[in-house]
Amino acid sequence: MSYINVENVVKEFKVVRREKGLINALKSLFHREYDIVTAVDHISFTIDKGELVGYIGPNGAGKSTTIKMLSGILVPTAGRITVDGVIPHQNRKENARRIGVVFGQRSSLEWDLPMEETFDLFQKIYRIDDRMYKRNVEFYVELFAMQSFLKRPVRQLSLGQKMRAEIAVALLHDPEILYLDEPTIGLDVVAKNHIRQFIKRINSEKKITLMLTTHDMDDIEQICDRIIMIDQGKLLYDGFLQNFKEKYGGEYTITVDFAYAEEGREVDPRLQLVSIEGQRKVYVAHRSVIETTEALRYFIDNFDVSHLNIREADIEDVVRNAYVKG
Amino acid sequence: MRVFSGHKSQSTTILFFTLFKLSFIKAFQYRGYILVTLFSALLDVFVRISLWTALFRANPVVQNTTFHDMINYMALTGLLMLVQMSGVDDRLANRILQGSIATDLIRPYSLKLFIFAQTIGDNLAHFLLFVFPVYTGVLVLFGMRFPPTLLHGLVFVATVINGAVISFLYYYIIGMLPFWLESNWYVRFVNYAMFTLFAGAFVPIWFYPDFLIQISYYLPFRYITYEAVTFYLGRTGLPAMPAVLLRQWVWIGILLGLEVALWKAGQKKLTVYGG
Repeated sequence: MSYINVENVVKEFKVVRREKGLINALKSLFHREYDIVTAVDHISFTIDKGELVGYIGPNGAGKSTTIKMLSGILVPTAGRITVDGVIPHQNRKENARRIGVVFGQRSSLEWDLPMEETFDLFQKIYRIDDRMYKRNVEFYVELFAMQSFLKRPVRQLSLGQKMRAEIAVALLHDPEILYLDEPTIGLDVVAKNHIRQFIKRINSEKKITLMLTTHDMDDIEQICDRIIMIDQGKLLYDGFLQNFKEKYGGEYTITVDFAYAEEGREVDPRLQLVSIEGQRKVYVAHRSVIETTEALRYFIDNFDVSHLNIREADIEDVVRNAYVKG
Repeated sequence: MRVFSGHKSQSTTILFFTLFKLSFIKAFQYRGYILVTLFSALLDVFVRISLWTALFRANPVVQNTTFHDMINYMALTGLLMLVQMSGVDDRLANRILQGSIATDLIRPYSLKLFIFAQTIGDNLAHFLLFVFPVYTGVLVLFGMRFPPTLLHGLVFVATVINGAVISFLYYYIIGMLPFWLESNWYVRFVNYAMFTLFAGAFVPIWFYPDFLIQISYYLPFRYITYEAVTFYLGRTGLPAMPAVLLRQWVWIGILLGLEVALWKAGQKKLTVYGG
């Protein structure tokens, strides 16, 4: 049996149906109709100890719902979850000691307190003994380079600093599993990179099993070996990142603003024209067919181009692609 | 590996004192806030003393109450803000409205105790910084009364502690309402009105028309600090106190039952139906 087992799990939510207009609003005071929304739809997977898994999908795919079920906050409508042999929602507090959870869009830090005091508070909450507490605070303050902002109240920290602090706090009690829900959301490129490096190091040095949800393709490329992809609550892919990329990734879009109307001129057939808007044309290509550098050079060498823009496929595109290919 | 040390009750106490300490650290962070609050507390007391002075000038004894009674009533009610657990409702309601209650559910602590410790810590910081200096000043200036016997003192303390428990449970229940209501501003509005009227926060209930006094007996508000204050001032005699204490315990029972039932239902709504 694996460390984390998810078997045929379903999670449905009951949502009040709201109709437009005043009369309907009045009606809803007396009689309410509900819609059943299936957030997670018969999902199964297993995760072994020490793995680093990217759990990906577009917004609203059911990622956070899964994390909440794994951490015991939500009760599955059907199916079975065990984490190290324990059913999370039935043993919420016991499970809580073994896991660390960071919700990227929700802070668990006290706004008015400096990190020093917050660490202290979490020592008391998790009843961490002094030796382990000291060791971990030293380790994470160094790892996350937190020395410079330890004494400042949390409200004065930058978003990147806050995220580092959130992760450090979640790790203070030496959890065996760390769930990170959108840890890089809203961060700039540099801060994102930092967080990614930290996540990798935690996994390799502390041997913590890590599951991370994201809708940022770069997160996945740089951190994960294995990915599980869901959309609209259904599992689309579970396997190595390399295979995934070969199968679904590699698509990119080039937007070209031509200096003159290039009417009638043939463009390399490897670049597929998808839209025309005056002198602006948009092409789609695939890396396995033509590399991005080659495509750029092709336009610059052969045409009079005033502006070029290249965009790698993001998670939405990849998911769409995965859907089409099945 | 010995990760989690100590007895449960002992570590709960430690957590309690840590939260307590943090409330002070927070309160001292904002110097401007301290100055403004102190000023507004002084202004508030000044306005009320002026008001009572004006009212009692025409009539030195109104319904068996003197100016001196009123000042003592005001100062005692003010000092007992220490056990008024307002703030509990906001703490809980915000967690529910913003969804951070989810993270509370997976922490190995009792949320009720956590909020209690935070509130008491904040109250005490507030008490020591503003309430105590201002109202003790008033009592020293106008003359303070003391309980005639030790027994009176003990009964007073017991009534205050019961009142604190009633206050906490009441606010905790109010704080849970956002499980079912999308917003809580009107709850706060109604709440404020009920407290002003039936807890005797500004005007003693004994001045009210009879029907309001009758209603007040069927609500929990007068049992929070009003009963303790009237006893302290000698308006309620010692023989009447066992009945008062009994009524307080009945309210504690009712509120506790309600709190447990609502918490269960709210938690189910959150974890099974997804909030």
